[in-house]
Amino acid sequence: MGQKVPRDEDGLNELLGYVKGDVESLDEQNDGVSIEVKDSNHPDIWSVEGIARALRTHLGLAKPKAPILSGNSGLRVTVDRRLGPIRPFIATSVVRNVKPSENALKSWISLQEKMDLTYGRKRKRASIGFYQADLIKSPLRYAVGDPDDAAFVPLGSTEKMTLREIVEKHPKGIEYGTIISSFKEWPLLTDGEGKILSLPPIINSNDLGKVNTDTKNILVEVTGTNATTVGNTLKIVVAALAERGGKIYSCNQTYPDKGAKPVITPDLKSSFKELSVSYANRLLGASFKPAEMIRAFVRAGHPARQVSKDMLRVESLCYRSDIMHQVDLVEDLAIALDINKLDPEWPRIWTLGGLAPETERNETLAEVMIGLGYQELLTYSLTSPEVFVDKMGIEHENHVQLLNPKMSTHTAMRSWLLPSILNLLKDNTHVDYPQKVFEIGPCVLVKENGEGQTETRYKIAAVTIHTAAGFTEIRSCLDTLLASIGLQFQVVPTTRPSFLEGRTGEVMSGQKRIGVVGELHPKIIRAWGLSLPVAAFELEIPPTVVA
Amino acid sequence: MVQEQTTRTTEVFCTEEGHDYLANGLPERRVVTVVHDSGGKLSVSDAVEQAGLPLDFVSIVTGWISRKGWGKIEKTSSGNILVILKNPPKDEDEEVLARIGQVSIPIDELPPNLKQAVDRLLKRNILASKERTQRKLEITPQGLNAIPIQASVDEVSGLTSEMILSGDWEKIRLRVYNVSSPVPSLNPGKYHPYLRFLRTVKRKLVALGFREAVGPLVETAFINDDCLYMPQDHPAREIHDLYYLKHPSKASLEPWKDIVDKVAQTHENGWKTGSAGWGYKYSREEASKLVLRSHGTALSVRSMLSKDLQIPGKYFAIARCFRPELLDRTHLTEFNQAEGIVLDPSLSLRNLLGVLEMFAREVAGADKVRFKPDYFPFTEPSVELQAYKEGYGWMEFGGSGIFRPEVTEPLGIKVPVIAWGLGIDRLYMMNQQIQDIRQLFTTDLEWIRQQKVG
Repeated sequence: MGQKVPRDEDGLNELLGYVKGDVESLDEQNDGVSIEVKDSNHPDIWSVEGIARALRTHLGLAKPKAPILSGNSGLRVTVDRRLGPIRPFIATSVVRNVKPSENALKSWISLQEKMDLTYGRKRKRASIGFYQADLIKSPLRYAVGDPDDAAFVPLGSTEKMTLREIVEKHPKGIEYGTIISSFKEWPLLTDGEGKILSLPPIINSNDLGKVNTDTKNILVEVTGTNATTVGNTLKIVVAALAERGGKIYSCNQTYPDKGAKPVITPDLKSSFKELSVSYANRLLGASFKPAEMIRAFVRAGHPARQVSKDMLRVESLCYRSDIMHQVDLVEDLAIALDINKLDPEWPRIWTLGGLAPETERNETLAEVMIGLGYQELLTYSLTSPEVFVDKMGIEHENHVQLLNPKMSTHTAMRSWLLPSILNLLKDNTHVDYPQKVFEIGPCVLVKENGEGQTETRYKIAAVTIHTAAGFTEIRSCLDTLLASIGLQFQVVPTTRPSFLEGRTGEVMSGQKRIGVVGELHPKIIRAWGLSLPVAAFELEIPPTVVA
Repeated sequence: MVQEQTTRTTEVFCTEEGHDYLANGLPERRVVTVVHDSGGKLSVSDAVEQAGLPLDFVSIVTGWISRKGWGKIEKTSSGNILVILKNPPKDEDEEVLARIGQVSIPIDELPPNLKQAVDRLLKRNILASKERTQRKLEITPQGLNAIPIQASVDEVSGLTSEMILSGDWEKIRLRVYNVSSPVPSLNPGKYHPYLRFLRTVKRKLVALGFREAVGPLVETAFINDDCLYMPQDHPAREIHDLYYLKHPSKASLEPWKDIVDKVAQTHENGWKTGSAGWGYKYSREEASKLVLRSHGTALSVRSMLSKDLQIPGKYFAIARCFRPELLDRTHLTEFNQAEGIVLDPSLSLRNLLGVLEMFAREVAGADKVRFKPDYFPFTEPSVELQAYKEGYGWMEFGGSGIFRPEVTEPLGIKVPVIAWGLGIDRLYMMNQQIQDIRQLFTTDLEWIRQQKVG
């Protein structure tokens, strides 16, 4: 960076604010720090080199400098047309004069991993390879190979493996193989002497693809399915290498399109955006002069100049893949100007606040239940069929099931509320009785029309458990509750698997079934490890949440 | 006159940790199974990770495996390796757990050979114990004699309606009660303590002019992510970060048909927003996948799409959201997020800071604030709010940003929109001095009953 950095956490955090970074941990022994960078769309600051470069300009230690080409490396790459549907794009560059330190190598490999994962979308969109440039002869052939015929010694191994063996057995093959395994032929990168460099995007050859601290010249290769992403990835990587003194040389890619000119990479040209001063000020809520903005942009790494009274021309250097829209420039401007210097102002608008009608209704119900002496509960709506189907004596219930649950106790969304309450009561057999509890909570119903429609509904359920709990008691509560909100209803006899026959009723409002009330069946009581009579009701009350 | 016979029994029952182990196995069992299934040899840290346990369990697990003689630890240059030759049979600890299960059992009911296991589990906080006191009262012959045969007019225990109306109250003497002695405790109806806190937060937001929005727990990926300009191929949308539904797995995009094309084009090439877009092929099939709502911002999308949307407008929601996580001290899989939006042509970054500062003061009771640049895929610029409270120091309290034009323009919104989110769960835990986030959804009825109201 060109300057000593503070060693304490607060000092570091203040500095790292410029790159949206936080100190995650300090390693005092090794004089190291672990930094969390929050911007997952800003790959050029995912390395020590990138952070140093950004901080250098923010602290005014240097002006932003675009990386430049020192010449053409003379390396050519031909691209086979059969790669079209598989992995059509490649961009290469030779960076000379590197001889990286141990730390530099670690940094580049870490950058490679992070870019492959996020920007490269787990290597599918783009993946990076490093090679010893001096061991490789031009022209490179980026073509396809037979998975069972072509073979080489992959990085980290001592024996030759076919491409298919690599995908099936090598850890990287297992992890990323699905990107190419569905095709009949797989991408293969070979040099002018027919030596295999790598199986993109899986793994390099152990002989040509291992860069170490003695390597003077590195070949950087990026392959992928999106031309822009591949090009940007290359620029970001070589820019990091150049920060450590490397000299960037371009390479020529020849694509199979009719009479196409070779694509020369990396393209280190900056991109330019026109930004209106008044637009930026409006968005910031400030009134900065053009000259102040230009100075701030320079600190943010963007050379800029004024082209008219209200317009600035802002340059984004080649590695800034994250500048998609003018708002991205305005944010960089805000960071350079220091957001803590802006004067916070409450919006000068008047709006009428209020709770949702659903909440108001739920609050009224809660108020009555509390008045009846019931304790409000809060349980998870994400639960398991064991809770709301099996242990309730039900055979089948159409409910929302998760594709990727993480715990066996949380695999499905409950369709009714009562089981969640029993699930809580089972943990409280040592707590004083009577226990009178209620909950108003969301449940999810699957609509029967099979169109993938679900509906989130709030329900209210109340349970009383003690030595003398019974139907009369719970029915009194139900009646009180519904009378308080002025709802006309009747209770008609019904049978339900979880409830005792002869002590169960369906709650009807006109022709609509809105709930159930009754005494729980002893089999269900025992299934929950309880040993006292249980009486309960559960209702759906309109208005409900509409899906 | 009364003979009291008190019997005290100690009962044991599973703690919350115990219930976890009952369902999923003791940590040492889980690790041993992983190692055995991987061929009998595995590094300790890998085994712990694959067993779904946090890494600070490494020393706990290796300690128990050694003590129980379930396997060997080999020290190598690259770390400790666990060697498990065969799956050990169910041991006494596991037998005790299985017997206790969901209920509370008196210690004496367990066979004596399991007592040691019970002690071990108590020490490990997998079980907890409670004293159950049974009191039997019996009237002695002396007591029987003391019962008056005739109700004397001298001393009565309570007034009756007759006494009041007849005037006999003048003739009687009311037995003196010891007003200081303890009386039976009551368990009244009360709000759930955490929900009471959320209600307070809602009231404060309403007082600041915010209107509540509500929405479903199940959303299409279209609403949950695409409308927020999250690219469909971003790793954060994989199975580690979102709960996808198996059944039902998809829903029709028909309700959104007016904007699906605009969103699709914005993702692909920026459409008319002036953006470069993400440059990939948008998939309507991917968009119609169903997920459990993973963030409250999904509700902000619904607010922006609502036909009742007002501009100027201020909206909030306390939304229940879901993320695939293992339940532990700092993670819930189902949690609440406070989120919302402010819309008006006049809004700027200064207003964003103003909104955050107001929240910090009014909702968190902070003394001062500071802001840090932050990142969300759907806002630019974005700001992190840090709040300072006397006695607590600085804490991260929320984040906010101005929605990117790629988010608002396809939805037909032409004004700046401030989107904000607050970490209210953390605030609650700080206020109540709760260390374990699972406490918010605790099943401990006694704890719930005991929480103070004020």
